[in-house]
Amino acid sequence: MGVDKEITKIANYINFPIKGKLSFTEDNIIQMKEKDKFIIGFSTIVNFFHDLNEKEQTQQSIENYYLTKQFFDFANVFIRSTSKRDKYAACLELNEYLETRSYLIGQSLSLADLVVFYALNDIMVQLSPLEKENYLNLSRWYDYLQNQPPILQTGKVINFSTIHLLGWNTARA
Amino acid sequence: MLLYTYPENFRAYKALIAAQYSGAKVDIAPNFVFGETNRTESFLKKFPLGKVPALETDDGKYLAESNAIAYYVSNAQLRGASDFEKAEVLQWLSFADNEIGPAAAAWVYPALGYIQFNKLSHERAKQDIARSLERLQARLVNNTYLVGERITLADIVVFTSLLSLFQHVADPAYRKPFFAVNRWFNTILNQPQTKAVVKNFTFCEKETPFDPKKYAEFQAKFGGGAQQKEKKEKEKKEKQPQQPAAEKKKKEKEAEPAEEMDEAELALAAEPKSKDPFDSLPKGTFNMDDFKRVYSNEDEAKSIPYFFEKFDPENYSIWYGEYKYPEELTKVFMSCNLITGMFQRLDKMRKQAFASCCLFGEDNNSTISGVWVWRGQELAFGLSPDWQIDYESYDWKKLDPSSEETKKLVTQYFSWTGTDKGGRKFNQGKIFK
Ligand SMILES: N[C@@H](CCC(=O)N[C@@H](CS)C(=O)NCC(=O)O)C(=O)O
Repeated sequence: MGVDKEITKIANYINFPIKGKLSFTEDNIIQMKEKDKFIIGFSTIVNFFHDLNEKEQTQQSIENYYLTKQFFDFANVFIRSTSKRDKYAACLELNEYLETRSYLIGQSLSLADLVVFYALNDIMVQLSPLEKENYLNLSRWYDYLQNQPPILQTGKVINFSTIHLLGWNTARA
Repeated sequence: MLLYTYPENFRAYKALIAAQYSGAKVDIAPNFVFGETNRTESFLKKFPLGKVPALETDDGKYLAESNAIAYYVSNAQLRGASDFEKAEVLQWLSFADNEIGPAAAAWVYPALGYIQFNKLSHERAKQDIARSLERLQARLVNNTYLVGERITLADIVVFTSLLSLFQHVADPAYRKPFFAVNRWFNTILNQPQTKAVVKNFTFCEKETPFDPKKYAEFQAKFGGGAQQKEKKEKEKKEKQPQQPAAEKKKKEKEAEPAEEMDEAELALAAEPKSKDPFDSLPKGTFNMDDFKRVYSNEDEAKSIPYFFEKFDPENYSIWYGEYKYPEELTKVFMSCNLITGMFQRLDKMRKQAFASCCLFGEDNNSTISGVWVWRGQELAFGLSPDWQIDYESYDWKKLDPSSEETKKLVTQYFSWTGTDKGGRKFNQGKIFK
């Protein structure tokens, strides 16, 4: 959906006034004007939000604070990779990671969820129903996030209902 | 609002967690004594069944039944967003009560010694619970929570109905196939609102086996005879000045055949106050507290002879316990944590036990062993399910209190001197008292 849009949505989510602040450098890198200075690059901007949010809202543990940063890089490097293989490897990894977790970090929503969620959008819209089944846990997590109006904002809901019958067969004691 | 309950009642948890979400101010009635308070006339006037949890609102209204109470103290999010979601919440509350509850009791209660073990009902309960977990799994594979996309009362209630199963009998292998349920359970367990209420949960590592001794002790204390008699006597006393009609009614009621262990009695046993596991053993003449006082205040030159002078070999025993896996002990401070951790887990045992545990050697070459004293002639750890985490990691040897060798060993450990069998020097000691 474009990094500018992703950043705008993240800013909206944390109630940061973003209007008119985003532009691109000559090398086509996203930048944000903040108090007469430019913050350049997706990760730097997102980290700026992270610190802001941390100060005002969440107060994660140190570990989770750094883990969150790792997810920003993960989103930027793997999910947004130009290599299809990287992208799918990232999905597989997330899917496995989410088997035992409801959220990416800790037991509640964090910016890590948001950033990865927006970055995944382009991949998720293209998944076939069969692929969604293969990414069962990832699909569950993604569906949960898109059902939170403050996260979805103006986005379109992706249909996961085709896999909702599958659950009946996953556990055999 | 005032909530009447005994401590650690999973039914009360429902309301207490819900109140954490809604901010409703729910206080636990102070001085509530289960089996007494809820049988008083004034309580029965408010809550005719005499069961807990029970809620009294600030403007003097009364509510029984844990689900209703939890619903009342909930907020809009917990109750469900639409009419359909509200009905779904109700669906899961009934599911917890009817599908999980009875099977959970059939599986957990024998393990806790409340009721007799029966292989058939044990197997059936395990299967029934597996079916319920499958049902939950079906929902939770595709959804983060049970209803809608937020935590609701459904999550809270189903979660509390699984607590005792996941703590006492459902071991890791049994839980494993239900990965989505496990994911969800962990999420609910670790919500700050839950953590504020559920304090002492640990996942079951090994199914607690039925222990006939525990069951016998429970029967002796709370089972049919004792409890029933006590109840009658009390009621008689209370009722004497009353009109004959009421009296007669009461009598008829009492004449009913002794019902099976009811929940009141089960809960009584769960009440920490009445639950010193050592109570079932004769007191003897050795006073643990006196000895501990002498040991703390006096030099060993005094306290050790005092110990042997007062020790009552009929009713108390001395044990030597040695850690089985010394090769796993690396850093000294970690080994010390191992000891203090065990002491903490055995907290309730302190009343009638004493031990000196010593670490010999240094980093990467050390052993742990100790001398223990407790009431009774058997390994005391069998007396409570709470005490069974650590002791299997130790080899236990009962010592003959009259032998010279025991005297030497006791002296060595109580005074923190000497070496272990391998000649490693004493490094640190910890006293359990
Ligand atoms: N369905 C009730 C059950 C309450 C209940 O059985 N409470 C037991 C304790 S766990 C009790 O108070 N029993 C007292 C008695 O039977 O006298 C609820 O969910 O609140």
